[in-house]
Amino acid sequence: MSTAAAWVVGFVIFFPILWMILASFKTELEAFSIPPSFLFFHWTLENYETVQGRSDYIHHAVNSIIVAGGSTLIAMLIAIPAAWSMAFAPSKRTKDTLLWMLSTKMMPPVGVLVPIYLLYRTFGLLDTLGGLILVLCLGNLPIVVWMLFTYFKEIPKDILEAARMDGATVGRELVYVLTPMAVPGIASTLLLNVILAWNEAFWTLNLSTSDAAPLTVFIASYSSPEGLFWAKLSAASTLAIAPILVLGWFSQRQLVRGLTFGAVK
Amino acid sequence: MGRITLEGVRKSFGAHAVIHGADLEIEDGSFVVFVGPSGCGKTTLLRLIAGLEDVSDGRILIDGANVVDVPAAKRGLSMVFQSYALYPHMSVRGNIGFGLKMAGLPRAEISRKVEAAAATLNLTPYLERKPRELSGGQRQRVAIGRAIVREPKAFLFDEPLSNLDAALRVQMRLEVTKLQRQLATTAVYVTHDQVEAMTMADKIVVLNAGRIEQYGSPLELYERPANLFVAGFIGSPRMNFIGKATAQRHGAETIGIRPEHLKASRDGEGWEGQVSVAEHLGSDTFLHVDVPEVGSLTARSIGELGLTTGDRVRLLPDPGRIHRFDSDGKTMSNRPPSS
Repeated sequence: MSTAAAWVVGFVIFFPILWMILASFKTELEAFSIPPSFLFFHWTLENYETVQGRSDYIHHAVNSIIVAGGSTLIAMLIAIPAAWSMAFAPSKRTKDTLLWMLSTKMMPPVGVLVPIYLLYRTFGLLDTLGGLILVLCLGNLPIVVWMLFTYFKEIPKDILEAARMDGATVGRELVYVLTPMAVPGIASTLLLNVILAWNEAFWTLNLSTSDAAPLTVFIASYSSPEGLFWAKLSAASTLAIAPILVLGWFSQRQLVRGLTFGAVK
Repeated sequence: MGRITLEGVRKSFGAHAVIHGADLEIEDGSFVVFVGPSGCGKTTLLRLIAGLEDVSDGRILIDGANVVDVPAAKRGLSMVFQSYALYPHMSVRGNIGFGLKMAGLPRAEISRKVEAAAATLNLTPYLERKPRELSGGQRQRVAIGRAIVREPKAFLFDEPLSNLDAALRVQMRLEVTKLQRQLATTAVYVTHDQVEAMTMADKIVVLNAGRIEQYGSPLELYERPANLFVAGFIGSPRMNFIGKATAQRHGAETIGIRPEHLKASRDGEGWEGQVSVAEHLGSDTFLHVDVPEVGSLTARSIGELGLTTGDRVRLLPDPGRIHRFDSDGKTMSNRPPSS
């Protein structure tokens, strides 16, 4: 009974995505015909051809991969040592630092759009991959530090001290004891951050136009100027979410495990 | 070798002083137990020796060399933690051998030593298991195996048996003692359980509020406690303390009599009182007696006396075993002129 309910809820949540994928294989006419045709329509790939022909999907997808991957890697490199020291060698201000970091996420990004835009223009960072990586990395850093901090907190201090008593230097303690124990946490943080960076639209839309533009800009270009072409927009959107959907599909176990870490113990 | 000397060791966390100047000489091969109520600083003192905390002042010498600036990893000591602190992602073999691996020993030698340690601790069938697949007692053995395999200068034990059930605790107590005798390696053992302290130690350090109250063999502490605190802490049930006029008759501020040195009888000599509670343990009976003259006393009698709540009883102290304390709580040296 509950399994059936879960399937129903799951289907309801998934339906818009399914509908979008179906629409991407329809002709424009069928895409907004009423009553809508569900499966029995003329399947076609013409939307995908048009989309690739009109705007370079590969170019945007590569940008998305670079921006999401790059910002995540840099964020992890900064956040792992930061979270480590906060979890295992906290000072009096550690709690305040963490709250301060989180508070930056409470501010609406649009509040700093103008200053950041002007800074970017001055330093020539507009429409560059480096600029996007920088802003997404800094934007997601608080979440990454928080997530890693909570995972590291779960590792008993005794075990690290035991390693020290066993003659392990700090480096070896990290490699042989801490990292293997924190792998689920690090992996799920990494995945979540890639997804967040991939989906991020506000900064990418405002700070890039063509050279560095990731898939968000690619989709946005299908919205208003030519009126709404549902089938083509669907095809573009399907292409945009496809890589992340595949990544999510393969890593769902790891993600769920990471997100419920500690809660189920 | 494993001779540990503490000289004026102090430790503060911020403005809060935890250890107020500890001086101690732990001889090579001896089994020393730190005992005291919770919060007395015994674990902190052990962690200072281990190098897991930095001293605020003073010196710690291991075999004559000052180690206060030597990191824990380089002090050549091994430690058994209360929580066992096993590496969850490693097998028993990996856990026991980790220290040897860090020391850079060849693989074959690690294997040989790990297997020897496992055999000593009856862990051979479990070598390939992960810690989560072991019982509490087995985990405890792995933690001990990890400590002994490195042939350290000294073992440090931080309340290692407190997570075990009572029966297992008694068994492990014996095993740890035997193992230490066999290896003849210095051991420093922290516990709040005075029975563990009395049964395992060559020497006991009684700590209270960050100060060493007394350092001596278990029997010294029992027979000649240095002060009221030690007198009350060592021995079970607790020593009876009597003040006021009765104490003054003995020329002291307070006198102490252990429950086992109070002879209870139905009609004989001594203080007369009424039994408030009688605890029958079979081998012994603990009588809690209200004596109008001196207050509530506990007496321990061998076997059954057949006394129950409300019965009248006479308590006669053994005159040679009355402890006398001055107004500072210090033990007075001379025996009383008369009793």
